Amino acid sequence: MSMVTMNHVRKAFGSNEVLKDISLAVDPGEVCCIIGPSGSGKSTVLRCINRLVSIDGGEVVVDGLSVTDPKVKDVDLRRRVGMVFQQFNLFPHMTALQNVTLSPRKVRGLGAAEADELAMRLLAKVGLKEKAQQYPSQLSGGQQQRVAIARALAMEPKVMLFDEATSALDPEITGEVLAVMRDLAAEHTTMICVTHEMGFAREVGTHLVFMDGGVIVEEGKPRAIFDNPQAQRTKAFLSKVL
Amino acid sequence: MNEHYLAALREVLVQGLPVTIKVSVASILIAIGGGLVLGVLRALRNRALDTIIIGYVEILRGIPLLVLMFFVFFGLPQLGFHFLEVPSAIIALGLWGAANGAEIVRGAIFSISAGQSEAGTALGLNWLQVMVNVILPQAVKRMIPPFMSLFVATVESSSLAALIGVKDIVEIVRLRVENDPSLWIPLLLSILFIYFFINYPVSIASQRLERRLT
Amino acid sequence: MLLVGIAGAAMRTSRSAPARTLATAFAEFFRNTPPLVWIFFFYFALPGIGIKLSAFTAGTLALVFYQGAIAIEILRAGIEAVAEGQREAASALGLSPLQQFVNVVLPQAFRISLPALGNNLISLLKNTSLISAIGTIEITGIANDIIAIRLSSAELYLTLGVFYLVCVIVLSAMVRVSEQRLSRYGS
Repeated sequence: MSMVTMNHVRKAFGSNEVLKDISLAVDPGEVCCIIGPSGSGKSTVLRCINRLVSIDGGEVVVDGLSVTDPKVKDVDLRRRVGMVFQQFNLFPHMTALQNVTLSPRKVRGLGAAEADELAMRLLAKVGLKEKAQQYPSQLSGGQQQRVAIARALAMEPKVMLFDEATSALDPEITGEVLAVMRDLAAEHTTMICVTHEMGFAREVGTHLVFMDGGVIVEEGKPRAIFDNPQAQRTKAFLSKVL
Repeated sequence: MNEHYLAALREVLVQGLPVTIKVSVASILIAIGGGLVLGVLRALRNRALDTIIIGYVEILRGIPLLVLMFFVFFGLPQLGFHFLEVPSAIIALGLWGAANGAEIVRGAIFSISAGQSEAGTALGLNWLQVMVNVILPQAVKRMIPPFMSLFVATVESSSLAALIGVKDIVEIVRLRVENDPSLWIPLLLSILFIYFFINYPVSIASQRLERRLT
Repeated sequence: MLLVGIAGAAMRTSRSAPARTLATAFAEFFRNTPPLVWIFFFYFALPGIGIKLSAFTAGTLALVFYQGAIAIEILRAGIEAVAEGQREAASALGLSPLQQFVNVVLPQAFRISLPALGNNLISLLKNTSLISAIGTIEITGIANDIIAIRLSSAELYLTLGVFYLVCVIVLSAMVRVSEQRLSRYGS
């Protein structure tokens, strides 16, 4: 059974049809990379999965839960889906540790000691154990994003969504974040990444999706598409970015 | 003449000043409390609620404070609500202050980037949890300088209470000069300085805080 | 009020320290003290040193100083907000400091300050009600007289409130329109 299924999803913001007809299935353990030009609706796809955006038509099912069903509570859905943002969005008034323990404590009801232990483990996993007591303003962009990843992992989600996680970072720093993402992939975490990092998509991705103008133009195995794109639009896009 | 002045001054300071301060502080507390409630309610983005709150704010900021005070003290008794001078002043100043406070709070809350509440929501927090844990702690810092300015405005506006008979420093001066008009200049200058000494430090502190936050 | 504001702001940001201190002292002193007391001062206290002003003049003068002081602060912030580069460019073009100020800095500072100045104007309108305290021919004063005669104060104050409200709404709309007109030239 798929971890995430989207069936004929439509979404418009005002008169702007951002998603025209999206159907996608992501299996457990897959690393699905979504690439495409700006404005193609990639970020919106992610936001439909955890209900940050409500869809106008179609169906989204995450780990057996229907996103469009009003009886499915926000909390249940978001505990299964972790999200990492392009702008990190760390809470500046909390230390790295507090950022990571906030959700386990408030949403999962963990006690302080338990939450701290979980958070320290995750911070160690992303290589930032020594920075636990530092505030985001004291951390570099790459470090902040790694804390953000630890924060999302603290919910012990079934799926991790990455929305252009490295786009706001200086080129020399993207490596440290991509390394963490690579480790997660190696552990068979189900990941859906909107990315411009073609190298990552090609080497680590197991399922590539090319979007343009609100529809999926081409999808399949990364190497196959990169080496031999079928659709005209895919060829045009790839020739520009590679 | 000097003894008259000193005696009057003593009365101003001992009897009038506490009243001025009491009215100002009570009003600013209402303004902060009311402002927080109204400002946070606007963050709910409920259109009906928003319209009511905006209506309240625009009306209370559009009419002169003096008219409001007169209405509370002279007008309300007609509708069955009788308030003494001091409570009337505090009610009027408080309502006016809360309207301004609502704008301050709303401005601070909405100035926090949308990504923050997105991140909080994505982590599974509900609206109230996001407001209390993520948004408000950041917004409060931005509210302090404007609220300090509001305090200065409240202290100044408290002088209007004299016109409905509240015995604050202005009213005491007015009563005293009825017996001795030569006291106008010295007493008025004195209370001008009193107001200045209360407000100027707050004003400067607020400007410095604002510079540090930007 | 605007004249006081502009002159004061110019002095506040000028390079000569005495002018700066004088303007700052003036602005800060008037700004932190109640307009009502100033109205009293100009009308009741000045006669003590031989200056007798009509209620209207006293009230107007007091408000001019008070709102003018606020205008000084607003314009000062506006002037400081005008990018340093503008002044350098004007200098390089050979304009004298006064020409720079009048032709380059002031128009931009004015446009930036417009919303705050608009608010100041509205506040001026509302403060005119204070002049009733010295019995001028002014709406609040007339209302009080009518009350003394007819005793239906609640309605009267409500009507008064509505009147001021309408004036304020009209003024706000005018300010907003002029903001939009001026911003067409870009900031």
